[in-house]
Amino acid sequence: MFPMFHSESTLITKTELRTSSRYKRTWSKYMKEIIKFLLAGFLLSVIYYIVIILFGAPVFMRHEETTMLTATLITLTFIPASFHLGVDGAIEIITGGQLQKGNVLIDALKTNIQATLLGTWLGAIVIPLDWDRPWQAWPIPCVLGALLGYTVAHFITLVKTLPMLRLGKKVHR
Amino acid sequence: MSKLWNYLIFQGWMSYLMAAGLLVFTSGFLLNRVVRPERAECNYCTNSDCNVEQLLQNPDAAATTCLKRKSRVVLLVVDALKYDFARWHNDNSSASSYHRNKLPIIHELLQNQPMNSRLYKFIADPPTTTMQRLKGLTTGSLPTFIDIGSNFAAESIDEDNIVDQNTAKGIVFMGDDTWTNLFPGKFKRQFPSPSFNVWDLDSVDKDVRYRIFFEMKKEDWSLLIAHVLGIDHCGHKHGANHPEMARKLNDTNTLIREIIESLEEDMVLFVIGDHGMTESGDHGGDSKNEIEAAIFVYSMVPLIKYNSPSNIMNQIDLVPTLASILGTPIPFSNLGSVRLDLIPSSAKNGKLEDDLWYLLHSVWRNIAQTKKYLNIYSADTYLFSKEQLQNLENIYNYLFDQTKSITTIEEFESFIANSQNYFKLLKETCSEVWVQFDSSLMSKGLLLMFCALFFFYLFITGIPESRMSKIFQSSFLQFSILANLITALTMCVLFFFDILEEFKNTTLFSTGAVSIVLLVILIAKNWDVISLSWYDCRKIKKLIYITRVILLLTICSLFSNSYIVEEDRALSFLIVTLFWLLMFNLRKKDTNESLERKTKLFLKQQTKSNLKIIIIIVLVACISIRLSYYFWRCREEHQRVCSMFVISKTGSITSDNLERILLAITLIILALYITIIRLWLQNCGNLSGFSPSVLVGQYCPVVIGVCMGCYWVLQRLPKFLKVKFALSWQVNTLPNIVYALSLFAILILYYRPLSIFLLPKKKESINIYQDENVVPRLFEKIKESIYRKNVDVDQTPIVYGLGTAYSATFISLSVFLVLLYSLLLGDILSSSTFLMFICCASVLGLLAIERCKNANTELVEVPTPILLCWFLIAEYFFYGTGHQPTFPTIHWDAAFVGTGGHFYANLLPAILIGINTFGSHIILGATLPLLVIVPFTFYLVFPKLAKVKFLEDDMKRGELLLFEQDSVFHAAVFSVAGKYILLHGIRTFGSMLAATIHCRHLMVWKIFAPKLIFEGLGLLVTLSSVLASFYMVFRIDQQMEHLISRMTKGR
Repeated sequence: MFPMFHSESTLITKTELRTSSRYKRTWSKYMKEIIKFLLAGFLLSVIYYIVIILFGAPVFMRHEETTMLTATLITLTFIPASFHLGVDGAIEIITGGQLQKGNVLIDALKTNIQATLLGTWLGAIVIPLDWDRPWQAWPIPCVLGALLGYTVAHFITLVKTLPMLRLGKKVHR
Repeated sequence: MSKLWNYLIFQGWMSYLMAAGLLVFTSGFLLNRVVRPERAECNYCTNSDCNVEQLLQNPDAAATTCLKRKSRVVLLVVDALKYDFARWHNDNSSASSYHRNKLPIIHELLQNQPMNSRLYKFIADPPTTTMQRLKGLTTGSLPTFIDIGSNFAAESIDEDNIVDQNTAKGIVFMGDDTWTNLFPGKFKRQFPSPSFNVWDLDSVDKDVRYRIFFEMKKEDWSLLIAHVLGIDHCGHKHGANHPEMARKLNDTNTLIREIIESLEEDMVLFVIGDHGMTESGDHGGDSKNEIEAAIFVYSMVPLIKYNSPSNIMNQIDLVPTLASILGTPIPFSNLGSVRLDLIPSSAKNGKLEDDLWYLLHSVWRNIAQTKKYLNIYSADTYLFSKEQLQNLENIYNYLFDQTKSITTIEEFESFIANSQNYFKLLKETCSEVWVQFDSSLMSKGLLLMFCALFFFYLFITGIPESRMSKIFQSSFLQFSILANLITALTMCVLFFFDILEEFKNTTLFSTGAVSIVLLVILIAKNWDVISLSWYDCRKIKKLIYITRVILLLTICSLFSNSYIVEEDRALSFLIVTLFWLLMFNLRKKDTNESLERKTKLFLKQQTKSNLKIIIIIVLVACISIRLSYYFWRCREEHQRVCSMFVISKTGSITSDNLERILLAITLIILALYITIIRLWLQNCGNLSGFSPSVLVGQYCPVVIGVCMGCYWVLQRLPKFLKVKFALSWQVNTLPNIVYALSLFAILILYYRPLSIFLLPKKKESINIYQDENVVPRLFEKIKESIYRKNVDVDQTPIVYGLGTAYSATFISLSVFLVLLYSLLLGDILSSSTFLMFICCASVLGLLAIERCKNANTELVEVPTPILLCWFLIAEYFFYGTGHQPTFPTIHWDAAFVGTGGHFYANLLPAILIGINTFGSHIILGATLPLLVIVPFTFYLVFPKLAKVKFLEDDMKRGELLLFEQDSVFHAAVFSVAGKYILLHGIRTFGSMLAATIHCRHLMVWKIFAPKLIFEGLGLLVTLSSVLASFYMVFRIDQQMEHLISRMTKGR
């Protein structure tokens, strides 16, 4: 679904790319971008980790589980956003900054991130219940919630964009 | 000024309504068993011509006959003697334990003289508190839940009991003074020792040991009761796994050994524990560890040999057994069954044949007594169903016939088996019936509470300030108060003439109903305004929705037992969520603004720095909440590993270094807290001058802090050093000084709330407020004033701290409350109050920033999310300061801070424990008006941070503005206080509803009912503290008016 939105913004970037003629420069730019991506990803995961702990995860135990949740959140929020918008855009979105309004892609990514975080938050509700199910162990409901939220967000975007697609077809005709 | 009075009265009225609903509900929910006043009587048959066999041919007569005394009984009650302590463990691991195999005498006797000794599990009925157990042990009746509340108020027992029955034959008592309160004037000789001093492990035991052998030599008693407390106190103080426990058990072992050595031929020794203890040494609940006490019986003559079905004995069975041995009537309301194998036999070999008739008589007497009790009880209360009664009646008749025809041992054994079935059925029936609820009272309470909340909500949210003041100017309030009083009086009169049967609940309900009707009238009259303002409120912000969801979640969590168990986690989770939401909300507004004014670079920079501050505030608040996790206490249901200071008892932390480090951290934090507050007040100019409240604010916290620090250090000193340094009364004076000073300070604050210094006019005034290099400026000023003789006389008066007059008072009030609270929490937990302080300060900071930025018209209106945050902090820091809503986790030690355990009334310890338990509710309720005041203070203190869009000039006057616009201010305080108590009320209502829905739930007495009680008490405490804070605003206003009029006159 996303490549479809992508076509609009890539047009702009492509023109930019053409202007920068030197191959080396683009290569170094890519490297820079990758390093930036790794660095931002790492910092963001540290921040996620701290926030999760602030919400009540154990500090001295179960590092692995908390790290798993962090990794899940990073893969669902930061990585897709940075693929689509670049690292700066991703960070801007995650910290709640206002990019251009009305951009379908940005809106979709935003709903994704919000729904993922909300899902994670809601997932925590199941943990204290005394059903004694194996899936109630610490990060599982939150991870499931995150995945579920991510999926639901996609459906929401789909429903939102359906009328737009029809419109686009009509225009093509 | 009278308008504020009206606000106050209205607030009081609403508080009364909520409290009435709660009280009516709880009196229906927590029912009492009806205590029967009847006494059992019997004809004594002491002559030798009394033939039991013949007597039993007439069962009715046999039931009312008492036989001769078998022997005298020495009843040694060892508080908290767990079965695990008395049992012998054969494994090797027990050798290293501090509490296993420490009573070898019991093991020896069981091995060497199995005919003469018995050891059983002695199952206690919860609640396992000493008072309730003593009641059960002497009356033989089942306890009800509410009894636990009266653990402090040891009233005398009205029910028939074994002590009353034996008074004539002579009882000697020594040990725990709970007994002498329960049975005043019943003992022939009594040697009570004070029981409540938990720190004192030895003195009660020593007293008992000093007396008991002397008394045992005398012949004039038939029952000797000795109650030693060392093990229980050791459990409370150190927990079960502590070297001291080994020492105390050893002492007990010696005591038992010595008693056995001096036993005479006609004596039986009963060693019983009244309850067990958990691993941490506490008791009160119904876990296996707590209810399994031990009973050990030793007799000089062999005990009757009767194969008992199990090694388990119920505590209520002790009463009929003792009655049989002592030859006294079985107490009227006993439900226990006589235990045959604990009765000394008359023959040397303990064979059954010789005592057959005697035993048959004992059992039959017991059956007849319980039947009689049931008949009389059910005749009055109609609680038992017909089937149940018929069932019991049938078995009874069968047993009645069987009694007459018994001749052989086989027949006797079948009779005993039948009688055991009978007793089992009886107990089941009774315990089922006594967990009844009064549904009409409960529904009345729920209805009252709901109506009060609903209409108060309409009133507070719907009616704007202008209409509100109109309402309060009319005579409506006087009329409604009058109506309430008249209703109450009518009820009084009706009760006096015996038309009403019950006074308290009827009065509460009728006045509540009248008040609701009046409220409805009020709302109907103002419906136009309410509907209008509701129409305006259609477009609610997103944040408000989320806030409502969070409130809903906190209430929903009350309906699930696992959420109540994990409520500490749930609440902290929600608070952190709320903080993040607030931060994002502020940030969003920031970015919106910055988008609008992108051109103005300066402004953007400012918002950025602002944003940083907001993020830091939120982070600090979240971290402090996360840190408070380490002060949590575990309840029984928790499977998680508790943090290191959870047990939080002196001496429970075995490593000395850790203890010292913790103490040092606590002391540093205490000093830090006092310094921060002092610096703040100094900077605001509220610590200059000589008015009483200024003096109090200046010196009292420091003195209190020093006293507290000294007290804690002295408490932590090793035992041998402590004796050298100070006597216990000297140590106790320190907390007493703290109590006296904080009480004095609070009174002063109420009497003269303004900490303002009006500079005397005639003299030269030098304005060196908030300057860095004071001395040169001072010099310059003095020089200036000397040279320039003709100073203009009519300059404006200089007042220190006028801009922060309101907040300063509340801050110094909170200081004293917090210090008192942390003293009662003890040295380890007291740091958590600092965390609470940080949280509150961050909320206030966030509020101020938000208000200054977003307020469009009214600066005094407190947004609901912030209020919810305040409410959640109050609720959370109940847990955050190491409390849990269960009875065993109440901090009983708080009653010993400064009193040393010697108090004569129950009020003082109740207050101390109340402050310890509900400190967060008290403090946050008492400082509630700060929410309204703080934006003004903030603007005055950090003018750079706060940019107000309007009223820039006015804002410079700080809180003086509040005084000038008093009607707006009062309405705002009223609405904040109203909403706050509404939040608490809604939560309590949720708790009530949960208790109603789950009243047949498995966990109702363990989870829901205690939660309801704690929530209800929290509501009552909040109501009163909010009223107190309201009154403080009133006082400040009065004094301000006085001051301003004086100033204008002086001009």
